[in-house]
Amino acid sequence: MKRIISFAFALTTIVLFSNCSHKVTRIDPAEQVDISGRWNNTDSRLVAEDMTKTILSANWITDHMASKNGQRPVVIVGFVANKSHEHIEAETFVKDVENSFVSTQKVRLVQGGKKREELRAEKADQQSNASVSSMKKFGLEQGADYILQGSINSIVDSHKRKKVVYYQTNLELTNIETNEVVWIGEKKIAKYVKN
Amino acid sequence: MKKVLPSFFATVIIMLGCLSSFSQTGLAPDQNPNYEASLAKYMNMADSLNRWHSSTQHDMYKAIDWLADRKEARADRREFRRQLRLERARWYNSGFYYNDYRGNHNRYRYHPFRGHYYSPFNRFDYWWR
Repeated sequence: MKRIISFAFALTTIVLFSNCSHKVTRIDPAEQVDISGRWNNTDSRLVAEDMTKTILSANWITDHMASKNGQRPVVIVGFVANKSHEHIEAETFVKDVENSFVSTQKVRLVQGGKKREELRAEKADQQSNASVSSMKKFGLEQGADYILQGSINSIVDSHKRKKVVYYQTNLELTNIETNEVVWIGEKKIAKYVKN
Repeated sequence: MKKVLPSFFATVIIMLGCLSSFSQTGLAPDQNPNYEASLAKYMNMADSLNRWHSSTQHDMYKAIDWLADRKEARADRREFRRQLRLERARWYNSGFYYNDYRGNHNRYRYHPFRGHYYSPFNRFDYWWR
């Protein structure tokens, strides 16, 4: 009888502990944790760090300021085409680049896309609802000098349970008036995954 | 001096003419005079193209991956078997199988008066007709 009771107790304990095995802990976003081998936050961070460092130290800023009487360049962010085999959201690293523009104040940034439409809609709303003194006027937006575009490509080489995944992320800065590419940033990441 | 003056005036007149033509058409120096064709084309497309600025355009491909393909094939087989089970259950409930309490598992029922089997699904073969 004692044996049965102790066995039942042990079984209950195991069941209870197995139910409590789900655990969540906060980790440092800079910590490298690779689980599946797919694109993750570490890859995004590596791309962001590399792009931010090179775009702010390249000659295009000084060249622009020299040709425009010291005026800082104005940049708008365009499309980033994900042509890889995985779902990769480019906004995670493009936002870091935008953040560096604003925080260093070397480059001026203008809003584009749906957010710009929202701004114009708000401006339109102000035309009929805001007081005349606080109403913002149309036609006074800052025009961008450069557009930031990009692409993400990948190559997968796999055999049975082994796999090498190569990601190439490119960001390009183009003069909107002349179509001249003034800067290209590139980050290559290769991973060897063994399942 | 008399020889130089006419050529000087001619040059000045030509330059003034050029300046006046630029000011009339609004062209920047070296600007293509046919730019309006492109302007008209892209003015109509600008809104639809610029809406997706600051976003990611997903144009992904399916990589050749042995392990992923195996997982996918397994999921497909499971889904097929599940659909097959659902389909069978649907047929059983509709009376297609096991429709006879006497254990007659074929789809035909025995007609007690006519002395032959008939299909309950054939509306032209009901026993009361």
